[in-house]
Amino acid sequence: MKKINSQNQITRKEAIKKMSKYAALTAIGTFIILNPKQAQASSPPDPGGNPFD
Amino acid sequence: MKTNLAPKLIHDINDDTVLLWFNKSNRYLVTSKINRELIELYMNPDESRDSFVVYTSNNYQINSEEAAQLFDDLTVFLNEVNVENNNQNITSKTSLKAPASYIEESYNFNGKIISVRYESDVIKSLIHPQIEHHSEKNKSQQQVLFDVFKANDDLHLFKNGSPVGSFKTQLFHFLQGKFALELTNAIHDTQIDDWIATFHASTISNGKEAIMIIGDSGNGKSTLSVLLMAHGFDVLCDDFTPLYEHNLELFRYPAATSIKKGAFEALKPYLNDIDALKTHTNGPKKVNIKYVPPSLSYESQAASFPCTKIVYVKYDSSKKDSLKQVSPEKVLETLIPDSWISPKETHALQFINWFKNVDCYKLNYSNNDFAISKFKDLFEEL
Repeated sequence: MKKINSQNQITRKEAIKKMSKYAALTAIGTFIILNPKQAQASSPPDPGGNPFD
Repeated sequence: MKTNLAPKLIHDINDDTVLLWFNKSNRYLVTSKINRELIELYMNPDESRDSFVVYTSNNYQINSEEAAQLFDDLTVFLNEVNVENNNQNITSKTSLKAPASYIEESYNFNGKIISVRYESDVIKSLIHPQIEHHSEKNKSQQQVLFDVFKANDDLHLFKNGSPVGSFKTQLFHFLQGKFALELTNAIHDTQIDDWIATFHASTISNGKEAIMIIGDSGNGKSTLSVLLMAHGFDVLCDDFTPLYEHNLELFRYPAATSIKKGAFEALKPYLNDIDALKTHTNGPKKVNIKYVPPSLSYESQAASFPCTKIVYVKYDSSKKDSLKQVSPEKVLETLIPDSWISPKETHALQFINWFKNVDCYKLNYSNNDFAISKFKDLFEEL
């Protein structure tokens, strides 16, 4: 197994606890899951802004 | 088999940030290099839970309990992130025929005549105001015909008699998006399968390069676009910015820029004829809207430009005006969920490689002159 160098070591201070589903992973650092839209879209309407209602 | 869960693409975005892409679900993960190492370690077919715990607790400053939690989190995460998205609200299959009764409008884009048959005024209000400035009375040279109509609770878009998309009525902004991309193809002679992404962004050009403006709804993207237009810049796109695979450039979408009521007064000093523009009262934005057509003629402008800068814009009078370079994840967390990115692996790779060359900024402003001068600076740096 490879050894990581010291600058990659995470510290307690860096591992700020964040409440989330994957708490252990988010505690280490940035952990953002991003879903693109499933189809091309223009701006979504404002709440209640459906002209077909 | 946990190898089935592996991200298909793993790319460093900068010294700290890694972007991973999962092909089954077309999802992205923005994370740190340490998390990337942990995911790669987890993916090693020889790595058991026990060996993972031993290794990570020996090599990172965590105890074995925390290391075990990391392994379990990764198991849940990798299983969930690979679940395919099923979207049953959007299809291109219908056995319907376009209605015989319609309101027909034609548009001229650099000599290409495009006609659209809207079934009703409400449907027309979804599309026509943005492209009304291209209206054409002479329909004899019509090259492409679109039909847009509603049946039960679905909106349907046909191109030259064939269905290209059906959408639940409450998802009419997907109909608008599909129409926008089909219209882009019709006027630029591009292919529907060759688009890498369509970003929810406004894009400004100086005639050589483009800068993309992103931000949440209400942040002032469109208002800033019009301000910049009034100062000589070219609005390449408002709201809908397509990225093309063959030249990695952003293409022009010749819609007028939609301005909400709150910005009418602020724009008056810069836009003499704003009072003369029609106010639309029954649109999807709940507030009155005006559509500001581009000031430069469509025919005189290039179809596409390269883009190496994205600016996240926030109109905020409570904060000091500032333009700062920001980390890519700040931009990605707005850009990706707001945009369509093609699920093809080649396109995901092209998107990531394109983004790697983009500098990310955040503009906080309430002073228009500040925003305009900063954009001038950004273009001069290019």
